[in-house]
Amino acid sequence: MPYLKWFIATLIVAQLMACTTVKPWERDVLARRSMSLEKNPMFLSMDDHVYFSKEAAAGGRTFDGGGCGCN
Amino acid sequence: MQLKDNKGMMEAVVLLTANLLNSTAVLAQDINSAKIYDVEDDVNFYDEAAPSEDVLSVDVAVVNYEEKGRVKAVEPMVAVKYVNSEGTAFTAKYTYDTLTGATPNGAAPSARLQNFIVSSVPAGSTVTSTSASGRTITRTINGNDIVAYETQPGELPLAYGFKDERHSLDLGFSTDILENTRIALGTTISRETDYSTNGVRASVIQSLNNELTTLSLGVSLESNTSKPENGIPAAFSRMDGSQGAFESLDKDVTSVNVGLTQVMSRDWLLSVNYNYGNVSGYQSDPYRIVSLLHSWEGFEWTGYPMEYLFENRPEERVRHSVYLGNKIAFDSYVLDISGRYYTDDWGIDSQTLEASLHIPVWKSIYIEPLARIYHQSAADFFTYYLPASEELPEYASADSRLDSFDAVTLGLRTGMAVTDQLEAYMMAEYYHQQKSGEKGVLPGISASYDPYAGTDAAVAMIGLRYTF
Repeated sequence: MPYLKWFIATLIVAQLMACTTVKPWERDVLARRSMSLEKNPMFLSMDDHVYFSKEAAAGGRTFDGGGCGCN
Repeated sequence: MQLKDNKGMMEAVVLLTANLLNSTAVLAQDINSAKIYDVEDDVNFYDEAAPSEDVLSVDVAVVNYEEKGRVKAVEPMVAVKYVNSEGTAFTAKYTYDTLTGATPNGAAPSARLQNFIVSSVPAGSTVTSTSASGRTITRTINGNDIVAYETQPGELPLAYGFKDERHSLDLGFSTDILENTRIALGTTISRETDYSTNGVRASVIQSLNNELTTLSLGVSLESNTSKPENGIPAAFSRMDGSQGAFESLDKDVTSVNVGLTQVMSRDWLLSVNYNYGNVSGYQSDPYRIVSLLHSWEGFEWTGYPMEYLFENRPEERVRHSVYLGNKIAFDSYVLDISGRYYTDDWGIDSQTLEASLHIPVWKSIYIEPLARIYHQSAADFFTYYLPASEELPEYASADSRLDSFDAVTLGLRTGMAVTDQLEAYMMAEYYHQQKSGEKGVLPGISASYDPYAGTDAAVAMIGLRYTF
């Protein structure tokens, strides 16, 4: 899937060009549970653990290293 | 990983799970008097702001992981988080893993029956005689107990009797040190039958631009020790059941993470991370082998295994990854879309794209379908076999995790506010790997067999969070 690389690069450039200003009183949506970057950390840690044990890539959203001998 | 009867372990898991469910029931009794969430409120629970200060929450969850015909794992977890009125946070998480089943040993499929010797000790001193699967056999030959397992012709060789358990504890602390500056510290300790990890981490988080921008810089140090029961074999030594050359070997992981979180609009949160990882020390898998195949052309037995040699990987590895994550709200729906590019100096490049959609249901439930696609290229030294007609390379591994493959995950997550203090959540995912690029070809008589050892796995989690 080599096209993925270009898709991700395009997303990064498009997003860095799109910065706007949001006033403090306009942050109601961002404060929602559903908008939290870690809405349910238990799900995220489980996914990280599974992927770390089955794939060569690691890190990105969190630190490198997996804390287990599963890879 | 041990070749032992795992009945006792299963009993322990059943007991632990029963205790977990029991404690959940006690928790449920405690909250009987709590208000059922959202009886009069029109807003979905997940559209409300979560309390961020003076809050204590406890999670109990169980994960069941099962690979098709291979490893099974059960993983109960307990996590506690406390944030005081000043915003100082303390976290603790305990995880217990138990793994059983079979795992590819790295050898290539063959046209003939294959016999893998796990250990060879003086007769009478063998601790184990039969694995849980019944696939491991012990024979006494020349005064030695030989523990071995077999693989039928044409089958992918799997090491049977695989068994392991892990206890892991993670502690975290974060607090504001200046008006817009926060520090986060943490430590991880993990103990397996044959592997241990100790790690520490520290991050500085700086808010800028009226808190529209958050920058973070973190460092993590991890020290790992591999200590298999039979010792660690020397690189490319024969798998003949003899004791390994080393009792234990270490590996250190240094990781640096630079992050940016940016409020892009009222409905859009963006995060970008760069991660650097440096891994140094013993990085081979002490159980994994590579088949040394007869590779001279024109013989009736071309392709037959002549030896099984323990793999050898480089002792240094440098990894880089860039992650881009987005949370975009469309009314009460939230699209989470992220991508990651990864590269390392073992020759592996990888791209990941993941998307999920938070869908509110009634007033207290959400469902979240998710999809993830992943691709990686193979490590430079990855091989399905070693040809006996050529000199041994410097490094070689047949571990399918270093092969080139694509993976797809499809899943569904859901959460429900049972009361204003109790949340129940579940997830189910199916993970599928398939070979990417040219299919591997074995020589001679084994040419018709597919050496790719990727897997399919089903993962399920159920949990409860109680907020005091």
